[in-house]
Amino acid sequence: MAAVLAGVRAVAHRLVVPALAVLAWYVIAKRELVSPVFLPTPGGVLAAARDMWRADTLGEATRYTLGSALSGWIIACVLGVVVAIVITRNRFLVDALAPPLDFVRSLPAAALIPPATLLFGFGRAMEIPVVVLGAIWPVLLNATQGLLETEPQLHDVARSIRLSRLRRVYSIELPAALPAILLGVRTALSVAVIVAVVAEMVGSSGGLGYELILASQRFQSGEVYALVFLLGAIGVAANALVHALERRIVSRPGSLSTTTDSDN
Amino acid sequence: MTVGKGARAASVALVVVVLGAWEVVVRAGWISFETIPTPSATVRAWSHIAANGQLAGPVLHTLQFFMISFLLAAVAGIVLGMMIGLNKRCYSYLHASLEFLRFVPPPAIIPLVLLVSGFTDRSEILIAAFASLWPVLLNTAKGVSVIDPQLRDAGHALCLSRTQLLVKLVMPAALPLIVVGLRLALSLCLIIVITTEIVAIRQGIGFALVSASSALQPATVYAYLVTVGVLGTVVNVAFRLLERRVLLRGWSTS
Amino acid sequence: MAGASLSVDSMSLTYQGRAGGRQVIEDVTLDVDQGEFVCIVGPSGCGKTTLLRILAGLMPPTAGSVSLDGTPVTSPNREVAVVFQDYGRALCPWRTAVRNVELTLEATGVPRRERRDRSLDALGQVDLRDRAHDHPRMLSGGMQQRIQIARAIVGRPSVLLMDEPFASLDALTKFRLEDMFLDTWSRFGQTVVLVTHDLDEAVYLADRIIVLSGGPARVIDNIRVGIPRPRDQVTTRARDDFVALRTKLLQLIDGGGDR
Repeated sequence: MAAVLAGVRAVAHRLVVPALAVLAWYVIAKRELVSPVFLPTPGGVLAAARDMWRADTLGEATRYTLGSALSGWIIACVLGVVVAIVITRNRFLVDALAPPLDFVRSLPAAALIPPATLLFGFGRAMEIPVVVLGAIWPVLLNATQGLLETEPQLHDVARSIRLSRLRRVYSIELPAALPAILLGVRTALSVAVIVAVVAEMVGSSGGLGYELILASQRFQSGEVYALVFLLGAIGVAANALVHALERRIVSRPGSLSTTTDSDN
Repeated sequence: MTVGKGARAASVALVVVVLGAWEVVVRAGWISFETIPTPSATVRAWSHIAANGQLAGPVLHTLQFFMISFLLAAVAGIVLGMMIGLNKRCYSYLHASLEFLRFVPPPAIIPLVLLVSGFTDRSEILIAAFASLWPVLLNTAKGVSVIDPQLRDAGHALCLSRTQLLVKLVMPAALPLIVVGLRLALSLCLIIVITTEIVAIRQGIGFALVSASSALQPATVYAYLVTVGVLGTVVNVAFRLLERRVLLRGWSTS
Repeated sequence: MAGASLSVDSMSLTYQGRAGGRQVIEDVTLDVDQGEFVCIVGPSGCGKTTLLRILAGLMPPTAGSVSLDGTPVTSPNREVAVVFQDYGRALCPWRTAVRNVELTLEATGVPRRERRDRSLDALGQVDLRDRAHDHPRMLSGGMQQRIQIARAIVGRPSVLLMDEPFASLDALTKFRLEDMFLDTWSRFGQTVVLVTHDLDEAVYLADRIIVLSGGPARVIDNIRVGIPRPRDQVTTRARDDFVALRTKLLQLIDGGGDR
């Protein structure tokens, strides 16, 4: 009972600031202290969201964006881990590849859109490769780091019990690197959503990014706000989902923090 | 991490081989050069735009707007972060909301800002500064709010005044985290400036990329793309130098 | 800069949690004379560190009082210096050794020149003058703990409170630091209260040992150590009275703390 009450209090605690913000927003918009063209009322945003939902623009755009983001994300995760496994077989290779990869990594994903449209035209065919190129870095870097930092002692153990090379990767190195890889995977998902939205803003005729640009060009402020909130919610939900998954997978007894032997 | 001489040579060799193969593949006609230029054509296009001023203008625009936005975000982020982080009550109320805002995709605010202030220079700065504010703000708030209890005890035991505690212990202890925030903001800011130019603002290197692409000039597109990469790399390297020589100078090396 | 006397009068501490109070310290009364070296021993987690923090004025007790030369202690005091257990977290990693020591004097507003001179001098006391300009992370654990000791003595306090100062060091370093510290103490004569769970260390260092029971902490014995000074790691530890005292302590703690 006390625990439930504490939980309710914690949630209420988190909602104080958002509630105040919405209230302030409501007052400002209702009194038209800012022009309604720029700032609709919270009710106006909800109405716009409802209308878009009924016309199925919202659902379709969300499906479109999530489709590109998720397929790009999955490809990026697989590719990132595979490349990391291959290059970490050889420390020299990692060092040699680092500078050119760093250079490519420094390119904003959005900057890849113009060349990608030349190569793949407009639409999904361009969107997914751009998402992959944008989202692969967190996976690749974290996986490489994780694989390189496998406890040297574990390597010795693997050698002493004569594990095959493949087996060593699968049974020792990958599980040891798993927390790092999952962190990369989580970051990659946020990046994938962002890149998909940007790609849609520039060179697609569907998706939340496309709808956003369209709404802002038509000064449909209600729709713009509704879409921005939806994107925020998707970003948070995606992160929370992968985070939960991550904790599920990595909650091994070894990863628990040890308590120190001191007073208090 | 030090990279050996051998690795560096291999790195150069690798780049040369990849570029050479690329050149051959495109020249042989296996990929249409309408869609991908050869490296040599890219170099020619680069020297062309460098000579006729189509490079310097956009680059300067982008750099200028990047620096203004980053400085705004850095100053505002550090000041707000300290105000929030040092006030325990305030931090506990805001924490959840700030964490939420952190996951809002930065480009999502582009249309929002455009709606309010139109396709103007001010919009570009606002968007980039707003997007890169969060890493600085959150890291600063976290840094100043979680000083090690033992260090705080040590400060109290030495009878440091409140100001001394803040200036001599809390702020230096938070510095590494603040610097991490600044480094994240730096990359993000450049990304967002260029993204905004690509999506909406008809200026800077981002727009130059888009217009070369719609003019179907692949070599020019890749020349700009390489420039963007150089820009990003230079900015990051410069910050890392600054970080080691100035920001974290007092912190022990090794 | 002779020591000051420290007295604790029927002091208790209760943490108020959601599920009611948890008593950590129960009615502790003790007196430490001017210039005396007192060790407080007790089982792990019995509230020794908390007791020390209250002595330092870092937290208030729930009941009772602490006084220094008859004046009540309610907040940290310049006459009292503290050496913390975890040197890695109690030093500023961004300051060199000598700048860490100077921090004490910055708080009191000593002029820059004098600050530097006195700090180098204090580092000399702990044999660390030649590493004065290195950062803590470049120094060994023993050296870092010596910086903390220098930081504590540079302000010429009359009382030194030490929280398991040698607990995280290896045995040899520990012996060397104990002797070095005894040597410094014999020259300056501060009052020292040192908390430890190492019974040998307590017997070796102290004039008097206060034994606490575990949860909540209560004084279960107050033992005078009659071993003459100067003490010596080899011969002192081999003395019959040393061994006897250690055995007595072990029995006390085993009987009182195990429940």
